[in-house]
Amino acid sequence: MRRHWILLSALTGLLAGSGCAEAPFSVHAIDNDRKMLQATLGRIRPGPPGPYSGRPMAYILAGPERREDSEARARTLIGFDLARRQVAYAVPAEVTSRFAVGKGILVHRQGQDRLVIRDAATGQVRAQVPLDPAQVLLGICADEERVYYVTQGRGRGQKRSLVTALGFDGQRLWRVPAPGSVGAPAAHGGLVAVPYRYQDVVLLDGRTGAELTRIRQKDEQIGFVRATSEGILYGVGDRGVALLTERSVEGTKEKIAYQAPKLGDKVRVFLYWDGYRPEQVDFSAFDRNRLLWSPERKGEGLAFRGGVMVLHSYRFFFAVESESGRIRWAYAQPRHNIMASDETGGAVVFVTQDGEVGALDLASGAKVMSHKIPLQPGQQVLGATFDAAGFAPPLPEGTQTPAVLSVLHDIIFDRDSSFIAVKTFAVQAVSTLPGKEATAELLRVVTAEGMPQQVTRAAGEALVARKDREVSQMLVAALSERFDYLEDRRPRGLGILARAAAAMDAQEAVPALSEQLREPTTPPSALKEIVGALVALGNRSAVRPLRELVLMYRSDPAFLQDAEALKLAGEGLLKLGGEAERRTVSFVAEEPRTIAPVVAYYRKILDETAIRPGSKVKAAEQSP
Amino acid sequence: MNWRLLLVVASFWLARPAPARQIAPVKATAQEQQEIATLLSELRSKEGDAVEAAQKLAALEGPQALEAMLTELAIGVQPRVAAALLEGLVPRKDPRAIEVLALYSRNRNPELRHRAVQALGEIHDAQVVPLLVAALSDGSAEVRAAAAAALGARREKSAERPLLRLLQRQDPAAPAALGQIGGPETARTLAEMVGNIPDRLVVQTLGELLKRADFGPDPLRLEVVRTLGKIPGNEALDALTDYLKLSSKDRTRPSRVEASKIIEQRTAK
Repeated sequence: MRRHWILLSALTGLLAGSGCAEAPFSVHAIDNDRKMLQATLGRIRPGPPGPYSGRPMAYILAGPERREDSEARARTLIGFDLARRQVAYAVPAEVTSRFAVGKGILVHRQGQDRLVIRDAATGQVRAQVPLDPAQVLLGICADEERVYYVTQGRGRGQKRSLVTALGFDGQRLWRVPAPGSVGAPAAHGGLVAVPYRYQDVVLLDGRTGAELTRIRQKDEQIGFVRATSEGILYGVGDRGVALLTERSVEGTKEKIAYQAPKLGDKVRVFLYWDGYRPEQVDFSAFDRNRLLWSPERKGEGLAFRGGVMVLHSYRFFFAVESESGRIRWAYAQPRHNIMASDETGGAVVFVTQDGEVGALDLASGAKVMSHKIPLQPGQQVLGATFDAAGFAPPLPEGTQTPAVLSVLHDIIFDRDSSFIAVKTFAVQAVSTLPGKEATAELLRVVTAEGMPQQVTRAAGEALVARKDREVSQMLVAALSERFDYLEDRRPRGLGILARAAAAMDAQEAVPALSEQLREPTTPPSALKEIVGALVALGNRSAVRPLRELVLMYRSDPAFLQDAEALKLAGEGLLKLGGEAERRTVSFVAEEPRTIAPVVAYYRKILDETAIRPGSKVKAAEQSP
Repeated sequence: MNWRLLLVVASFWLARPAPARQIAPVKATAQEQQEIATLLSELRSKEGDAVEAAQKLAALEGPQALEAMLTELAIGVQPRVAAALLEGLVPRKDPRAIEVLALYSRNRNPELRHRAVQALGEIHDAQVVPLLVAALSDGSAEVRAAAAAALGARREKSAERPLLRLLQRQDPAAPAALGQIGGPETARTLAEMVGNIPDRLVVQTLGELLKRADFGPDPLRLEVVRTLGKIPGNEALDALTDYLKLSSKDRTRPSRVEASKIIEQRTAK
């Protein structure tokens, strides 16, 4: 009996090891099996060193902004040769998806009912494949020999997915069904990887569709797979990515080749298109708001190549160090949105809404290419897919790279107020730069007229955190700004400036802060911050303005709702003043006209600071 | 009521190093002292009664009442009570109130600022001028108007430029005050302002200037008349007509002759 068991186990292991133990996507398939994964990784053939198209290309879709625009309904596929800087072809094509590029071909959805395979060099149709109207397309990819696509049943309870392989002539080579959700595929070295049920990456043999192995992430969801020359990557959670290696069987972030950029809380980390969302198959705003990056093996781990990622947000690019969030360079495209972009390893290539095909040097952000493609009347660029791995136009001699702080300034102060998130990010980027000028820039943002509140707040927080005493003179000047009807001037960001003064221990700001305390136009929220700053600075010359504030407003019902400034001022009098100030606080606490919240608070602080019998009596200090 | 504490704070207030607060000790009668003490006690009752008490205290004559009012304002009272006390300071015109009024001219309550500036405006002391000029920059139109009126009434030349700025901001408080103060600079600036601010404001100011017997010499008046002549509308015509009436004793004055000519030309059309 025991001998039978041993034999059965050995047979099961053998079958599992050969990858043909179970049907693809079987619920009985073994996951995180190191030997199976090793065998699968060993099968991977190296990918092409450069673009699949043979030349660096941009496949650009142009068309009317709105599909219902009847006067210019036609869409055009434009093949643009990046190396020659010229349009290779322009053909009418009702494209409704991003392009997938294979060796010598490109694939896209046409309308809603078919896939079209085209010759990458001419744009001519090589094959058309109907799509099942009962299925929704989740993604397309291609490699040197085949096209792969994933579809899923429409409607509720239709979570049956299909993975299909086609030859470049459109002939179906195989199709495998999967119970549950399968995401957009990625092909690499003869394998097809698909995210499966949000937790697995299933690896299929590109030739047969047989499942070779699968890995399961135990602590996060898997949202996408991406093929690069470094290998297959998969999205882990909503902020990280992992490289498929033998360590992937461990299934937890700490133990796999995992990397998450540290870009600060102002950045929405969009590492790649979500494999499970059918709307992301087409060109969309996600193409204009994402991170551009290349992976790099680092020992057994994963790194972002050069330690840099490029954040693309509408008209703007920010090259950011992935480990520190520090800005390397920034670029602002004048007027028109950048509709699509990619990082090639040496450059950032992009296409703008009005048809500019451009490239920036990845290291410096300097513009190294700009070419305007002709568009038909009523057309604009709707999106583009690049096949340009390794494309890096040389930096023209004498190219001047604009100072990053200057570019960030232009972005923050751009008249278009709709880019609040971008401006906020630019402020965060400024805060990563060293030096007085960067701090001064933050100060300018805080005191700027008409700046969106979120942007001002971000600048203020950064300013406070920097504690940069080098700008104290500027800070004092900003704090000295007073409301003046005649000159149409008003101070801005007083609360933040006060906090910054306290953070940098700017004693020289005390007179200006004291004056703002007396100003009738100082907003209540700023009043609290100013009192707090004066108390924190601990300068005894603040006693008089604090006392004036307390006495003047202790009976004012306008402070009933928010008496924080008066409470803090009372605390400050006790902290900074002597016996006389204690008597003032006592008086205010006992006087019948003082508003209730102040009475209660002052009694409390008086009690807390009372000198108990037997305790050491401090000599009464002189009032200033 | 905690009189001990009140007196303690009042003593701190009086001990402050401020020259304006040097009130010569004047002995009040026992009856006056009793009355003030009663009113001070009532000031600590319900707000309505306190306002009434404040009005009564304000109505009392003599330095003891003034001292009591200033002390109350200095240690802080409800806004309505403060308003009554500040109103009571207006007719007193007492420089000893300047320091307290200066504080209230920057109170967060615009009504209190208005009353403080009104009271400051009545005090004939050079110390109030910078306070009044500062009040021209106030965010409240009422406060600015009170300051402008006071500066105009005292013909405060140092306020000419701020008042011109106020006129540029199209503040209706500016013309009357500027008309009382303005000199050659005002006349020239107003000529440049034509078309940039509403004609009504320029005409009002120029009209006020021409009403002044001390405004001149006549070449300056002539300049003003010509500026008015360039401004269309009946208001400019009315201002010139008023000038003709006011200058009827000096019919050969060139500026009058020019005004007459302009009126004839414009009415002939």
